[in-house]
Amino acid sequence: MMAGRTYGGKLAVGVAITVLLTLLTIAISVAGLAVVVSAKDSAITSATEDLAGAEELSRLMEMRIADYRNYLLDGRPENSRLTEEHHQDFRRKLDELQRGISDTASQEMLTKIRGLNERHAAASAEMMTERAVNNDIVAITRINDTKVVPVRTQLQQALAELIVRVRNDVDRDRQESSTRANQAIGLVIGLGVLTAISAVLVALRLSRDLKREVGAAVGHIQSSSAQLEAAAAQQVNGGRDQASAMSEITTTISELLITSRQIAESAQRVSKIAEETEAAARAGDATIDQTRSSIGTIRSQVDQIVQHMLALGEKSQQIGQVVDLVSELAEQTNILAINATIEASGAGEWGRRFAVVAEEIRKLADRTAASAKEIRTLIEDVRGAVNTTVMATEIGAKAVDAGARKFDDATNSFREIAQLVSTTNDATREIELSTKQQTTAVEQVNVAASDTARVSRETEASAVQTRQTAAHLSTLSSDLLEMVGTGRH
Amino acid sequence: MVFRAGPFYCALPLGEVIETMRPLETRALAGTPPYVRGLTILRGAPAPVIDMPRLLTGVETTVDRYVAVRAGRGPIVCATGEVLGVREVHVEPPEGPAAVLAGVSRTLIAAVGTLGTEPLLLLHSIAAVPDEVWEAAGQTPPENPS
Repeated sequence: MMAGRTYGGKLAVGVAITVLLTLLTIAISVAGLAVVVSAKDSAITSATEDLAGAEELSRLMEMRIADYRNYLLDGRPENSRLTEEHHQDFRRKLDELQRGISDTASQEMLTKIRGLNERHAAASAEMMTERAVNNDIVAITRINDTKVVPVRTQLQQALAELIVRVRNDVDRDRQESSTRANQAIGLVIGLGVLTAISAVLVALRLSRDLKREVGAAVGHIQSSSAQLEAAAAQQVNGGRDQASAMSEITTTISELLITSRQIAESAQRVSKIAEETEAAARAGDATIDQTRSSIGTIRSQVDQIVQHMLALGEKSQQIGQVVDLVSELAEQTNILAINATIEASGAGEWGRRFAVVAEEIRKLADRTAASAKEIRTLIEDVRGAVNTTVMATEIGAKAVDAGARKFDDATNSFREIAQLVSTTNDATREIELSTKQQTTAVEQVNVAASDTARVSRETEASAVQTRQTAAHLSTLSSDLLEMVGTGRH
Repeated sequence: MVFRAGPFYCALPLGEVIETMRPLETRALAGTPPYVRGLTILRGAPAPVIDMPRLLTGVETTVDRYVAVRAGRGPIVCATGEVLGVREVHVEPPEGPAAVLAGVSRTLIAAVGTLGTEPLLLLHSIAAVPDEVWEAAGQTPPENPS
């Protein structure tokens, strides 16, 4: 029934069995006592009421007889009255006794007594009446002895038999109650013995289980204590190392805290510089707008220069055409002058004069041609210069355009830089804030690390105490094994 | 009349010169010497064109003027460089420095002189035009041009 139960369960079952048996013993004892009390009450009742009633009947009968005799002797009405009263008392007691007794034989005896009483009363009344009219005591006594005494004797004998009968009934009830009491005592003793045996068995079983289970548990406790002691030793070493490491960490965190504060100060300076840079970028933005306007003006001026140079080139080309015409005329004049000279050479004296004029004309034509050639050269130089200037100006215009585009790119880059500077400023503010938060966090970490170092030292002390406690627990386990009788493992 | 023919100054007697002009349109002729540029139309008649620098030096230079001269079977045109005009020149006979000349040059150059510091060749007759050229120009060759 106890297989597979814990020791507490077994103990509970054993105690429950013992308690149940004890309660059963108590209940049976109470029932037995109740039965015994009832039997004793019945016996006492029959002894006090029935036996006393029977003896009361006998006593009343004796008093009635005494009053009757006194009346027969002195004839006083007082004695007659007492005789009647005691007669009535006898009747009432007889009625009570007949109502209280349940025994059939006793009832029959009471009925017999009632009849004898009536006969005795009738005889007594007759004698008392006779005594009232006759003062002869001897005659009265003689009549009485014949009429009343036999009935009285029967009545007294019946009363004596009743008393004996009732006394026998009382003795029988007493013996019966004593028997029941003895039975109850035996039952209680048996249950007590059974309870004791059960308690002893439970105690033996519990003791055996206690030895076995507690021995095994104490063995486990001993091995666990040894392991706990070893673990505590390791924890001591670990706690010592941890305390040392936490001390180093605390020192490092302090240095980190200093560095964080320096970073926070640097971030603050960077934020200030970024704000100044952002302001300078905004100022540079206005300068860029002015510069863009200036570049537009330069572009317009360059375009005008190109237009003027192109116009100058066209004019130079027109001049060149005129010069070409002059050169053509000079060449024609030169040819005509030479031919005139040739013609004039065959015309005698007049021809020679004309040849001189023609020669002068040819020289003028040569000079004109030379001048035209110089002009042509100059015009070509001018046109070349104009072309060079136009090309240079166009290159310059293109350069201005390229510069304007690059300036736009630079403007965009500058605005992007300004945007980035603004973003950098925001980021720097965030860095500054984050660094401050980081400094605060590092301070908190520093406090926490200090607390952890203190806890590590306390842990080391606790580990030492744990090791001592484990050793003490091992000793206590050995003592407990000896106490439960298992001995050392 | 003095004109330039390549590196040389050349002079023609005024009696042989008809006129000067700008270079006219000239058509090349096959089978002629290299110094014959071809034919041109001078005042309505065909006339051969002689490249004087090429005739005198063998190299080809730019032509600035045409000079029409009188030859045996009609006018011929000399393609020359710049025409300087009518000048009085002083030359020496061919037996002088021109004695080294031979061939066409010898028959063409009458005398050699200077103009300033430059040499001057005095040409006396243009007879170097081959007969094929005259025939192409529709004229008979001269009997003995030299």
